[in-house]
Amino acid sequence: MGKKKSKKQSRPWCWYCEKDFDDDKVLVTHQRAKHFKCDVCGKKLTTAGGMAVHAMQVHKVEITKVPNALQGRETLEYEIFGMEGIPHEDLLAHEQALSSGENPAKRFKAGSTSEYSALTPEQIQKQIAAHKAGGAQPAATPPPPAAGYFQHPPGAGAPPPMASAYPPQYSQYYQQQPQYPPRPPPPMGFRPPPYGAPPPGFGGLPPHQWTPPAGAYGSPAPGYPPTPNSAGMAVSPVSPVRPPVAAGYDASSPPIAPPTSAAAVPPYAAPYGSPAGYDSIAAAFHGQNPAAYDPHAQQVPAVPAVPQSLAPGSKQKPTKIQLIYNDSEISPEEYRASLDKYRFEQTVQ
Amino acid sequence: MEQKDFEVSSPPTDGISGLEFSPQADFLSVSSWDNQVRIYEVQPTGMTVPKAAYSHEGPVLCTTWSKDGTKVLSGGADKAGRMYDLATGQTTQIAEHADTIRCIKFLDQSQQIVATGSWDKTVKYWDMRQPQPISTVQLPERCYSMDVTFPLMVVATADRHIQVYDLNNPTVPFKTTQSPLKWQTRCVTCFPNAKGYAIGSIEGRVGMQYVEDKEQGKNFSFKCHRDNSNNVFAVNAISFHPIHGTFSTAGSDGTFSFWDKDSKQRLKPFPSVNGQIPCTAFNRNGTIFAYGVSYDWSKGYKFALPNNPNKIFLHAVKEEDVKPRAAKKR
Repeated sequence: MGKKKSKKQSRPWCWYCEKDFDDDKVLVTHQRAKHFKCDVCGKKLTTAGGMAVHAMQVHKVEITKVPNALQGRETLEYEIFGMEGIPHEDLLAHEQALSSGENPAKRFKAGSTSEYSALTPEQIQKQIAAHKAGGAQPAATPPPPAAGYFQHPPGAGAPPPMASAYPPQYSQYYQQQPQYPPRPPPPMGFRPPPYGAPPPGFGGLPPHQWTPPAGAYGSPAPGYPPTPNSAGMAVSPVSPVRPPVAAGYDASSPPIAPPTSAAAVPPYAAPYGSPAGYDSIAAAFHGQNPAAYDPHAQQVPAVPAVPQSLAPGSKQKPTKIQLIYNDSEISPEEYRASLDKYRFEQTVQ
Repeated sequence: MEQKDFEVSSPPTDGISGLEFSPQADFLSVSSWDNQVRIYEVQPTGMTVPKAAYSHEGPVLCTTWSKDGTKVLSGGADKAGRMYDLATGQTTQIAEHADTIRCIKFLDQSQQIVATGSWDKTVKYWDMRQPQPISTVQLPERCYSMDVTFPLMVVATADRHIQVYDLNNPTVPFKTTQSPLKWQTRCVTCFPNAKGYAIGSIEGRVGMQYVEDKEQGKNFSFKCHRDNSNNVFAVNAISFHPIHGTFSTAGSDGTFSFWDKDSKQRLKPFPSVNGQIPCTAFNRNGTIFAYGVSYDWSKGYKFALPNNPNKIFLHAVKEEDVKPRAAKKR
């Protein structure tokens, strides 16, 4: 099994729009021009977070979405630079998509709901294998950061913002783990890194980024502990559907799963039969076919509502410049001089 | 708080087309679409006193001073170039074209030879003592802008042509070229050292062009006078600071800025003046920067509203805003 970025997946690609490029340089140029360009002044920044901070500090404009990104990839959550910082499961998903001969970008186009169930056991096996390979050799995307998250003493309360990066699935854990209840529900519940790296630039995100979720979800804290997703983010649909699948791979999963999740949060492992394994699969599916993934699908419309309201009018795409005076043939003075008012009547000489 | 710029009293009643300070004293001549040329004295307090005025038979588009500060020249839509003698108060016609005279300049120290650029696609050289031109030079197109810093004369015409003349041999173009900018030329201004010229276009861009072939590598252009919503404004005027060699640009967006071409940086931006700036000028020692605020026709006649301002402001130049600065590390 090829490790990622080996033979078949050699072309760098852009996480935001799933386009691939000839080399990293072109990719970075593309990202700067397409996704990290300040809407207001056109300055090209190096990361999405950088753009948001720039817009905030220079123009006092909040940017909550990465421009020109595919739906679900508009989050500023990850600090992505070229191929760096791409959530691990997305790397896998992309690779998987490529190896199965489909255009990765297509996955974002339409929601053919059958795709999820259409996965053959072989494919699933493949994914697991890919995952194994990826998990064992975290070349570009080091999973350990995630570990940091999990290792936080449950009561510490230090990482709440990060928690929000986690997908609905995780809410199951919350249920199991009363220490976590105060965590807010995921504000951007898509593309979660099940065990992947919380974005390195996480701290760089503007703090305001995190305020909306609390409001948007109503009072998460009180309603949270008993039913994690008061917003009905379809945790329940997941649980009944997934466990069988997850269970089937239980045996193989635990060793793959980031040791941390197993080690640091053993309680889950027991009752749920390796939630990590479950998640990796979920992620694989998730990556494979987000549209078919109910919780996600529901959530995408629900969540962007928040950013949209926060980004006043930042969405018009001003690509064309507008020349105020655009007659290249004749000067304004000539037009002016041709008016009756100014026309010089030759006096008889 | 920035000091407010001084407003010139009794300004023209219609669009302001040209400004120039006397090389000898703080006198300012102003040409206007109301057919008048006005001459103001600027007092050290910043107050202005109207000194004299004379008229053309049509809108006046340009004005300049003789080196000794005794004569004011102007040219306009009445196809005439006129000379006003401050000592006698007499006006004399000194030049004639087949179409509007867009630009008028003294050529050198002699104070007798004048060049006029016209929409009739010629530049004519005049000895003010003679009714006939000394020489007529054919241009590829209508003259839109012209500047002289002896021995360099640059004429910019419609269709982005540029003619560079060496005034030691003024009848033959030293160089015939095209504007480095892709759009209609609005203005050209010679470097004070006559080694090159700055050119501004309707597309918010300024080019720095060196004349000598070996200095071509130093040519560059930059964007300016654009706003955040992708509006691009014409660069109406470029004026060089007489002492420091830095320069100003002013545009249809109603802003002006000071720049340093050698370190390639903007020294000082200024906020919008709520109107277009058609013309600018530094005084002889660069302590006053005069700019007109009046409609420049960049949005067509529809925006020629009766309540558009026609004003002239005098900005007290701060030394630190015009001093060249060391290039920034990149």
